[in-house]
Amino acid sequence: MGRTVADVLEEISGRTAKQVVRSLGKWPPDLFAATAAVLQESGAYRPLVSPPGAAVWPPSNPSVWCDEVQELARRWVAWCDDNARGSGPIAKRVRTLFDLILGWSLEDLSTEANWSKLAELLTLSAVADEACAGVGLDSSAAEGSTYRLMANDRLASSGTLSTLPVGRIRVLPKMRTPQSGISIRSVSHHVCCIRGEVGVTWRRRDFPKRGEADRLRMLLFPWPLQVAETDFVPVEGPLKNLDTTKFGFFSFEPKYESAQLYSTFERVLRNAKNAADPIDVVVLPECATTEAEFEELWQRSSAAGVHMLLAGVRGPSSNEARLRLGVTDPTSVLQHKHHRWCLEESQIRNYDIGSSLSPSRRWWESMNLPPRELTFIAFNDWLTLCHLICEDLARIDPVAQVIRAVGPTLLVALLLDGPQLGHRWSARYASVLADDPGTSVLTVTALGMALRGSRPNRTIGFWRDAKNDGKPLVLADDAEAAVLTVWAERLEEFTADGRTDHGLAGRIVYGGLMQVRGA
Amino acid sequence: MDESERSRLLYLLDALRVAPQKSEKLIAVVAREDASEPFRKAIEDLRKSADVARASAELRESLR
Repeated sequence: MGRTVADVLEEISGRTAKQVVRSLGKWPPDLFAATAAVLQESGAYRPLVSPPGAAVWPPSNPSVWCDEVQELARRWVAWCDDNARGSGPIAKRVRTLFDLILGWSLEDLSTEANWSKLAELLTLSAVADEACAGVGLDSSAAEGSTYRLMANDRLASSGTLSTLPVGRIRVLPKMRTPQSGISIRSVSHHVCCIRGEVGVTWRRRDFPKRGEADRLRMLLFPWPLQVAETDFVPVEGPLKNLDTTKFGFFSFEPKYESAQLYSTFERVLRNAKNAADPIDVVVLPECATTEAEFEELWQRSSAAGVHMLLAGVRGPSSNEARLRLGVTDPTSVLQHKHHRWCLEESQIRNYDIGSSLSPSRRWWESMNLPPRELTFIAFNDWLTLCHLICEDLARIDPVAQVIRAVGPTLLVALLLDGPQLGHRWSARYASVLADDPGTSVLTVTALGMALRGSRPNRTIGFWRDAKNDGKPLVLADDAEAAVLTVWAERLEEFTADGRTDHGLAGRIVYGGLMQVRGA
Repeated sequence: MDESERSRLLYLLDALRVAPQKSEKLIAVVAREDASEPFRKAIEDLRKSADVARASAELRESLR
């Protein structure tokens, strides 16, 4: 016999399956973790859209089933909210099911003979999901406010909503429900499960904004505006086991004067505000500034009334995206790059940097690789932001899995890359995320790099949302920056089991691009 | 106060905004002995305030 339901529960909890089952009826994120882990490993969510044999989903009239799920979730939340006295409204049902199926192999869950038990498992998963509605966000529902605060407090403290060990399984808020294909992510509206090496930090911030409540204006400042071949410098790398005739390390060391950056930034900021005030956030590409320069830009930005700055910060052996935000007590959120850039012959020739780096060797970016961490910032009920650096957008590794599971409404990728044309890699990966889970993606690169390609081009960014075709963000010949305006929309999404979110899903869509002229 | 504590305070303020009548219970959820001094002071100020709505708004402004 293959792995059993009990094996999965023991793996995610570090306790015996029977111990776990006794606690699952107490806390909705824990039941969600258990059901999602079993459904994901067994693939038994698939029968939701393709029931075995003569089986029918849902097990009762569709609207009756949805109402029952909602009502049970409501009673469970009320019970949690009211000090969780006694055994609670769902505990007996959870124990009855799991006591029966603990010894089952995962393959057996999806058979026609066991359909009623699988239907019950799917129903309990739906109840747990509904009981997690609004967690992680600024929820306006008074009912269940204590319970939601308990969940959010746990989330902000430990990076999970669940009481199960975070090293084994993590339960996070979920923003988007994929509306195509069928995966475990199709089964829930409000929460998702993550397993693996990626550490997750969840933050709540008020958006330091003015102006339209559903609008976001981003000043894209594609610094450096020029990049020379000598900005790519061979350096001694951290690895001594590489054949130096085949491999090398490089660092990116642009040669501009800091004073030139500051004066250009001030001019751009002033002109941008004249054209499109208020600006909500300034975005600079990967490796655009040093740490000291970032601080200087922040001073200028906040003095001009823009209280959010996102920029790539380069160091001797570091490459990070730094987000600074706040009016009265600003703080920073750091995102390290998870993958080294590897420059090989075709890129070296394309960017015409062969006088600095030999095309016959592969050159790795000289930077440390800290543990993989991802930060999500929940600003309001339509804006949950995640930011990444360059390669990390493209790699199908655990970080991408986490982003797909959570489905932040906006992902900003800072790049040091060529022009952001629709056929290039960054646009392709942006489209993948816009399609599933529905995350809107902005990429921003340095104008200096966009102009270095064999076909120089002033496309400094790319915007992709789930509603519209991708938008290459092209800088006019006489412009130094551009202001991208995007808008929040609501849309109705459905889970694979047939539940609606009542039109509460948030989506961010393209508005327009204004040029910021240099004069 | 670190970012985690700031987030926890904001979640508390979100809850107080929709359920001010439950302030004592809500504050108890986030209060911790091992928290930083600024965090504990913020909680204490909320707890002692005769006008939780106003105290919440002031605290939210200070965290903006």
